[in-house]
Amino acid sequence: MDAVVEGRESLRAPRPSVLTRLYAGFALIVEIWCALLMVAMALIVLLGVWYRYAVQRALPWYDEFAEFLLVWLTFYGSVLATRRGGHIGFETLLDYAPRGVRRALLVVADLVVLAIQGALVVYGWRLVQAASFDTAISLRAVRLSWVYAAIPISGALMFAIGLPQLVWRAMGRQRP
Amino acid sequence: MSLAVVGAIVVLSVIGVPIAFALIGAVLMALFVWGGTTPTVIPLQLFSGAAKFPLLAIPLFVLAGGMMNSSGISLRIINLASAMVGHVRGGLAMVNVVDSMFFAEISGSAVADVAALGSVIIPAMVKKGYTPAFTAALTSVTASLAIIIPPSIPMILYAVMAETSVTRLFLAGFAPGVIGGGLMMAVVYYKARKYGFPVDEAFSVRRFGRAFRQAGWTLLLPVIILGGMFGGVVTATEAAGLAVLAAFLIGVFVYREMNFRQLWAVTLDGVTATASVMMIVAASAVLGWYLTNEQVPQQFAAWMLHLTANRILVLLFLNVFLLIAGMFLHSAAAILLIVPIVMPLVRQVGIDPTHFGIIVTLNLAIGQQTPPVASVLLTACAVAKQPVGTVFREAIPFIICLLITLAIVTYVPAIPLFLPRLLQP
Repeated sequence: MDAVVEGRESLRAPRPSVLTRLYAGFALIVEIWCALLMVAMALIVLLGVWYRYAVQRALPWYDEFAEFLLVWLTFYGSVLATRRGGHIGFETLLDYAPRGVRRALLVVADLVVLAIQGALVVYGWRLVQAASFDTAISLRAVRLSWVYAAIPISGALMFAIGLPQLVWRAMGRQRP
Repeated sequence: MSLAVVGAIVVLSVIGVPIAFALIGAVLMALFVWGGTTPTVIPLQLFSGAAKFPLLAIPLFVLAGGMMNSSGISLRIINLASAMVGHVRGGLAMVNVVDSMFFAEISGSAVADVAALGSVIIPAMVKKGYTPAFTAALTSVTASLAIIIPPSIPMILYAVMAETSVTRLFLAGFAPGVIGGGLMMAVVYYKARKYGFPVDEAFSVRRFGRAFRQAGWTLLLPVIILGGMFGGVVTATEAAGLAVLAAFLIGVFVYREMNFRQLWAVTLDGVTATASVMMIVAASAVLGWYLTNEQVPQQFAAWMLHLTANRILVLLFLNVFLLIAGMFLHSAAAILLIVPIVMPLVRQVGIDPTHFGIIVTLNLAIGQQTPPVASVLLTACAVAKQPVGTVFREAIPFIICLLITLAIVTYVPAIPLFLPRLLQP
């Protein structure tokens, strides 16, 4: 019996490393958060229409909050886009370059992107601190820094995803 | 200095930095090298570039389109189009044009159009004896009608950048869309006579009635989306919200072809598509801020007016410029980068911003079909598993149709502007 089970064991794909599983879990959290933002955005727009026609009263915070959700979706969504390699670029032209040159340029490009994401974390964080007393126009209880915080946070998350991708690319391996 | 910034953007993009990051990186570099303002202005501009209410229509239309794809709506549209025009010689090819025009009315993006309709109609046409290359070319080119016929994501982007009304722009897109579609059907008819394309099925009222009933709920979608917007009941963003609700209800409760798994996948694809476009929107606000500080749009207008103030020549120049830009840039990126720079010139020469919006979108529709960067053509080639070169050769007559439409629209402003003037004076 044991021999059979052992045989099956060896047929299985190698166990994913701790890091891979950690990243998969982390991606799932980002995915759930982004899906919630998307649903909330659709609901808030529909709620605005509902209030105007059925309740006959405009929701004062409706457009401002819808905009905030869009900002969040843009930045947290771009973490997802980074993970899926979905950002829009010019890779068509790069495809004509010889393989080695292409890889070298992509590594340089990845380094540049990481530097920019680092800058987004630093300056985004400064903006959050500078705006710590600013509030939304329609609802005074909402601080603008919560909205701005999407920029440094998403910058850090993209950095965290991009760094291992760069290492794998530099070592000439495919994305995990 | 501004030239160095533009140069940095080109270099960064060519080595493979995504456009959004190339824009941020170039401005960041300029601020480090030449000083001036603190770089904290960059996240601030990123925020204000993305926080615009009309832009909310983008994720909502993308989501609605995705839901419609996975709810069996595309198949029903093809059935209906086939019952309508399948009896003409070259029937299925005609169906391809008609269903693209209809689908364009509920989806905002040409790539979505190819992916949704192409996967059904390309195999069907090949089975009937059309060559795969012709099939792919036709599917690709008709899909580009999607960005001229409302709702259209490039039009939303243009309206935000040019500070004009999305609804007016949508209204203006109808007539050019119909002209373009009509010209393509004429080409298909000519080719069908010449090469003896097959007839699909004889026309029958019963078949038409059945296809019409099956498509019933789908036909309601353009009524909700366009009627609500053009009737002045809702804004474009709200119409997009209603489209999501309608697509959800139809997919889950009427056709019952959509489950949680599909909804989840569609939502995340929508998030990724939205974020990739919106990051460029946000980043282009950073670049826009920098270039406006440097007075680049004004200088460009002055330089151009120095050469000529003749509206016809300016329009010709802008068309050539946009066509070339469209060949190399993704349509969203082209709009976000070019429109803010040329807008002062457009206004000074007295071109209606709505009219110019249609010219821009038509140019980019052509750019989606022309290598090296041809997003829609490449998607069609991938679906049909055909090499780009052969498909592009088959697409040339149809690209000429789009060029003729462009010429008509450029020099007869009354054609695009008739509907907006009538309904929204």
